[in-house]
Order: sequence, then structure tokens, then C-alpha cells
Amino acid sequence: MINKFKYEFGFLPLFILFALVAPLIFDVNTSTGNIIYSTVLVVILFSYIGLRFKDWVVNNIIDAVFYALLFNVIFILPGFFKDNETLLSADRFVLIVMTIAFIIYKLVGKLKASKSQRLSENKTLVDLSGSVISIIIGLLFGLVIMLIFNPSQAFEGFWIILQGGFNEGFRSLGNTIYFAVPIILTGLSVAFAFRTGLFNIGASGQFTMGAFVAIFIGVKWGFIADINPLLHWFVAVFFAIIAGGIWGAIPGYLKAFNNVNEVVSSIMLNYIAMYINVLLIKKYIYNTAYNRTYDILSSSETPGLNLQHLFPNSSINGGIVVAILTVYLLHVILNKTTFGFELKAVGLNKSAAKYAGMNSKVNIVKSMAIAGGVAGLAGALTYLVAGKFLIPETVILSQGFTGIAISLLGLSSPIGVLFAGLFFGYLQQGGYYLQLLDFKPEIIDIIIAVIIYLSALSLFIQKFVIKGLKRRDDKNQQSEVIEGSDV
Amino acid sequence: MLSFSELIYFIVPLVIASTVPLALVALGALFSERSGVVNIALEGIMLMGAFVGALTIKNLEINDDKKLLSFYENDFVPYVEVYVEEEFDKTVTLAENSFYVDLNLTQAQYDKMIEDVNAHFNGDISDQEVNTIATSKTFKSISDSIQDVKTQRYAIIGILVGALVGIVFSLLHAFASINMKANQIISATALNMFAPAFAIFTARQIFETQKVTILRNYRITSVPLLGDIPVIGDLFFKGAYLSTYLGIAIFVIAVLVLYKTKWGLRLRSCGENPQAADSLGINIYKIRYAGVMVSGALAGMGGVIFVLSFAANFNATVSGFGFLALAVLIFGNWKPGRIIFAALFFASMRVLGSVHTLIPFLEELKLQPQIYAMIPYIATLVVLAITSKNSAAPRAAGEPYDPGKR
Repeated sequence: MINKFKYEFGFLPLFILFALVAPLIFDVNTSTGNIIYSTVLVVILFSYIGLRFKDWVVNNIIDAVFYALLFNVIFILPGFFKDNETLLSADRFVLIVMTIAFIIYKLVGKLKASKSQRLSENKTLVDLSGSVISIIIGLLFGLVIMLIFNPSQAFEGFWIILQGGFNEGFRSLGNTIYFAVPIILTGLSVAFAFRTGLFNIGASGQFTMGAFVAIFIGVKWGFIADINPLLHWFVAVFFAIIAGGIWGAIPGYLKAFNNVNEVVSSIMLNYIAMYINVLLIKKYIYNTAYNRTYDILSSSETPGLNLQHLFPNSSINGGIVVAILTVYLLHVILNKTTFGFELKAVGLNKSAAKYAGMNSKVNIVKSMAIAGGVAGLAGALTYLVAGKFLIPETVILSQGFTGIAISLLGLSSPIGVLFAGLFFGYLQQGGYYLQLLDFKPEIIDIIIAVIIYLSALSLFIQKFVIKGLKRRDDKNQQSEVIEGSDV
Repeated sequence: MLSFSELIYFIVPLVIASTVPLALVALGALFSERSGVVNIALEGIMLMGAFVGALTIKNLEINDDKKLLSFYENDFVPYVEVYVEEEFDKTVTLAENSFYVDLNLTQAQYDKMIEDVNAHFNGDISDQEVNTIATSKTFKSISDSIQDVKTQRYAIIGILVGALVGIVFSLLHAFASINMKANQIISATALNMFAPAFAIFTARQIFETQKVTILRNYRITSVPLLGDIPVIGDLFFKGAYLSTYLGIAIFVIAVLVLYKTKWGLRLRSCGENPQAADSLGINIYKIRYAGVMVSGALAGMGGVIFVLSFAANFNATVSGFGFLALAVLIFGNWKPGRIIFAALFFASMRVLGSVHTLIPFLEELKLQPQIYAMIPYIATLVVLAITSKNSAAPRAAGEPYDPGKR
């Protein structure tokens, strides 16, 4: 029964419930309250992950506690450098000592464990190390570029990039999450399509359509707020998802019934969406004084869910909760339902799926529509924020393309996409603080582009990883044999 | 409101100017796809070519202006001061990049000037250039006339640099998709993301602004001889760009290479059935590398031509021309002849979008410019939907070469 519960529902709802309710119960602004709050959050999150993925790094509650503590230390360490008042209060000291103890405990445990299994056959490990190597090379490439343009500040700047979302403690961490939400969702859109054998390069167009519809409803449909203020936001998001879904279903339909390559048709649709967007903005919601869309009504803003208590002065809002829920939903659809199985089967082998009695054509359309809907949701959450506007200019919005990068880095799995998106948001924050020095934030885009290029070469990189791991495995096995012979 | 003939004379050169980069880049895509590599990195390659090309041209111009400036300060101003002191005070203005001096010099004074100019440039310019300088009436036209002759040289250098950069940049795509058997869409997307980021970062890091401004106008007022032919001269040989003619020549040569040479045949066979081509002793990898490099060169050139003919500055964008070229390729059903017509159609739509207010019957329709801009993409979608079952797309395009596959 409990297993069934874990399997079907998981701990994620628990996590979200706690995240929402806890700030109402106790004051999370004191440092102790903060630590309790974030520790419990992370324990729940990681025990969930540990239970879902047996072969993942996390596989028991002790691990979860360890990660929670580590998480807390990372949270708090920047505070040591930023404000002297909080320097080494007793609770933090205890926390850090505990964490170090756990790290030693874990390292010892890991060394023991690594002898018993062949690492080179662990696919997740190989994939992950491929991603990590891509990231490291991308960052080093950024360092080289910085050394070329401004050698005196290069290392200082590189450190700022590495600090990323920790540059200003909780504020920048909140902003990391805020900026990660749209790209997590576009990344999900691309990843979902990719798992079903389709390449959704049209996330930009779907994102644009979603953004326009959301803003349109946010500006014009004030009458919904009269019925119920909460409803306004939901309606805007709902129709944005529909709009994105339709925009995604078009290439899906063309692919399924007219055999048109979805890459080409999505590119065309990106441009069509861009022009339609300009046209419609100018026609309906154009604020000529500022050359942008009108302000959305406050009832249609994404609810903050008190997350600003946790991340003071940042722009964070409830979007992250929606993003995490979407990650969860798509994860369940892909891995736990017949529908997801059919989608994946069609992606892997269209003919075989047809032979097994699946309607591959309709499945292609459905899969693209879902991917489009998620991208549309991303558009809605990006622009249903006070102070965010669409500008009617003929520029393709970049979030869709960043989504491709995130999907690749997250290995096209919803959970991976979540972390990859947070990582990119983290890097982007680093780029933002990089402007304190004589550097331009576009260096981050360069680094990201290099990372994607390297993920395109992932097969090649993974070959190296496997080779290295095999050598290690063989060595371990040999030493085991020798030990055995001694006995 | 312009008369009909004026309108035609106004629109046709514009259409031709935007057809050429489109057709060139689409031809680049054709080369790559015919060799079996899908290259949607064209946008990025174009942008890289345009960026470095524009930088080169700008640097050449600044160098030249430095020369002009020192000529102005060391030779010309004293010269003017001696001869026309009074006028000088009134009429000389030294703008940042151009010089305006209104003078009325006698023949003898011009003769002296020729010597001065010659001495200044140290024989660096031809007699013809000296002549044009000497026969100019104003200093502005002196600097202009130097530009007129030298400028076109700069444009050509810029285009060549663009081609070179295009080749180098496309090698990244070739390496990933040919040697590493990577997903060609992904590696191309990476290049498309890299190019604007790199252009903006570099330009802002150096100039504090992402714009790379080209100072001079590279338009040819009238082509000698051909420009004097009555109607045709006005339509095709006035107010055009050298880069346009160059582009047309390159297009023709490239098509001849692809369809009339042994190498072209081999390249096309690699895109249709690489295994069969391999069995006949053709090196698939080499041919595909060549295909991608040619496409890189054409896209890089296309980028520079785009900047020269549309914008006085390069603002880290080629307005989606790379993707539009892809649409041209599909609309043209992978055939050079049809590509020209497709490019013409797409270019006309773009031009109509910007000049529709001048045309009476379009003005009455009161359509927004975005609608015209949208039409090419919609048309491509429709054509794709209708013809995809019997499209002439190369059969092996997009698939890494696997010698073991049959």
C-alpha cells in the first residue's frame, strides 16, 4: 500500500504542500526557522528522488539528510562573507560540523560501495558525467574568452560566474529560480517531444503565442476577476496553454499526415508566430506611449505564494511551483502511463508501434500538442508578472532555443531538465553580476552555446567516460581478486 | 505618389538586392544537403560572416579615414589657408567622418593639388584616383571619390573575409555531423546560438555597443556603359551594389560546378546514396566536408552582402535570412533554377512589406507590413504540405554516414 502510494503519488505533492503551508505556520525569516524550513523541504525532495530512482546518487533517507545539510551550508556560506553580524552563530556552527561529518561518512561509504559494482555499466552515471564534462569544458571556454578580452579581471570574473546564484545570497538565489522557470518549461517542452522522437525547435513560436494570449487575457478580461480574483490567472494560463498547444499541434499534424519534417515546419511557424505577435499586439494591446504592451491587471499576476519571505527582495513567484508540478506530471505521463508508453514507442519505431496496434499518427499530433502547451505555459508564466511586457519587434524570443539546450543537458528526462534549468538560471545570475566588472553578460550565452555543441558530441564524450570507468572497474576487480587470494 | 515607372525603378533594384543574398545562402544550403548534411546553422554562419566582414570593412575604412584626416590636417588645411583663407573660416566643418569644404579653385591651384595629393599618398593610389580627386570641386567629393574607387575594393575584401569565416565556422558543424555522427540539428542549433552571443559580446566588449557601423555607402551610382542603356540600364545598373553582381556571378559558377562537373555529380550522389557512392571509391567524408565548407563560404558571403546592401550597420542580426534561405531551398524544391524564383518571390514579399504604402492598390488594402513578411513562411508551409510526398529532398540528408548500412 505504501509502495503503491510512493509509486503513484510520490513525495512531490508533500513537498509542495509543505512549501506552501510552512511559511504560514512559523516565521521563516529567522535563521533557525529558515534552516528548519529549507532542511525539511530538501529532505522531502531528495527522499522522493531517492525513492524514485534507485540507481541514482541518492538512495536513502540518510543521504537525503546529508544533501539537505549540504544545501543549507551552501545557502548560508555566502552570508559569512556578506554580512558580519551573522558570523558563526551557534546553530550554523553545528550545522557545518554535522555536514563535514556527513561528507566524510559518505566518502568512506562510497569508496566501499564502488568496489562491488561495475561503474562503466551504469548508464545514468555515464550520461551524467557526459553532461558534467560538457559543462566544465564550456566554462573553461568562457574563461579563455575572458582571458583574451580582459586578462586582468578574467579570474575574478570567472569566480563570479561560478558563484552564480550565490552572489547576493538569498536574493540572487530567488532570482535564479525566477529566471529558471521559463527555461525549465521550454526545456520540458523540447524534452517531451524528443522522448517521443520529435525535435521541437518551434518552442519559441509556441512560447510567443502563449505569452501573447496570456497578456491579452491579463489586460482585457478583467471581468473574470470580478467573478473571482483567483480565476483570472487560471484562465489566462489555461488559454495560453491552449494557444501553445495549437501552435505545437500544427507541425505535429503536418508531420503525421503530410510527412513534413517537423524541424522545418516549426522554424517556419516560429517566424509566423513572431509576425502574428507583432500584428496582434499593435492591434489590441499596444501601449503606444512606451512601445510595449499594456500593464496586466494585478488579478492576473502569478501568485507569489509567500516565497518572497524565503528569498527576500528577489523576483521569485509561484511559477516555480507550477514548473515543478509540470515536471512531475510529464514524468508520470512518460514513465508511468500507457499513453506515455505509446508515445515513446512511436518515437522509437513508428512501424513497430503501428504493428502493435498503436495509432502512431494521432500520437504524434498529441505529443506535439502537449509539448506546445508546455511551451505556451512557459510564455504565460514569463509574462504574467508585474512589470513584464512584450515589445512588438520582429525578434524571435530566445527562451525556446535555450530550452533546447536545457533539454539536451537534462538528458531529455523531466527531472534532469528541472536541474539543468536551475543550473542555467544560476549561470545567468552569474552573468548578471559579471557586469560589476568590465564584462558583458553575453559571455554566458557563449558558454551555453559551447555546452550544447559539446552535448551534440555526447556520444563521443561518453565513449571516453566509459573507457575511463572500465579501466577503473578492471583495476578494482583485479585488486579484489588479489585480496581474495590473500585470504 | 510616385508614377508607375518611378515605382518600378525604385522597387526592382531593392528586390534584386535582397534576392541575391537569399539565393546565395539557399544555394549554400543546397550544397550541404546534396552532400547529405542538413545545415540549419546557416543563420549563425551568415551572422558570423557578416560580423567579421563588417568589422574588416570598418577597420579598413577607419585606416583610410586616418589617412584622409592626416592629409586634411597636414596638407590640405595649410593649403587652403594659403589660397582661400576667408572662405575657409566660413565653410569648413569637420564632422566625425566626413569633410565638407566648399572651394572654388583655379586650374593652376588644382594642378598644385594633384602634386600634393600624390605626395601625400606616396604613390599609394593610382593615377586615375588622383585625377578624380583633382577634378573634384569640393573636399567632400575628394574624399568621396577616393572612396568610390577604394570602397568597392573594401567591399570585396569584406566579402572574401566573410566567406573565409563562414568556412571556418562551418567546419565545426562538419566535424560534429560527419566525424562525430552527432545530431545535425543540435550541433547546428549550438552554432546558431553561439554566433549572435559571440558577435554581441565581442562588439560590446570592444566598442561598448553591439552595432558595427559601416561608415560609407557602397552603392554604385551608375555602372559605366551598361548604366546608359535606356530601360535596362535604369532597372539593373543604377544604384546597385557591386556585391550584388558578384553574388550573381558566384551563384552561376556554383550551379555550374554542382551540375556540370564530375565533382558536382559525386557530391550529389553522396546525398542520395552514400553507400553506393562509397562502393565506387568516392570518399564520402571528404565530399561531405567540402559540401559543408562550400555552404559555409556561400553563407558567410551572403551575410556580408546582406549587411552591405541593407544596413549601414550590423546589429548582431541578419533578420532571419538564414532560416528564410532554408525556406527558399524547400520552396525551390532543392533545384537551383527554382531557387532563384523562390528567392525572387520571397524577396519581393519582403520589399512589398516595406514599400506597400507607395503602391496605390496595395495601399488601399491597408494590410500591415507583417502580413507581407509572413507570406513567404506560410507559402513554404503550404508547399511543404502539398509536395512533401514527391519532394526532391536528398534522400540521405541528415543521416550520418554509416558504411555498414545498406
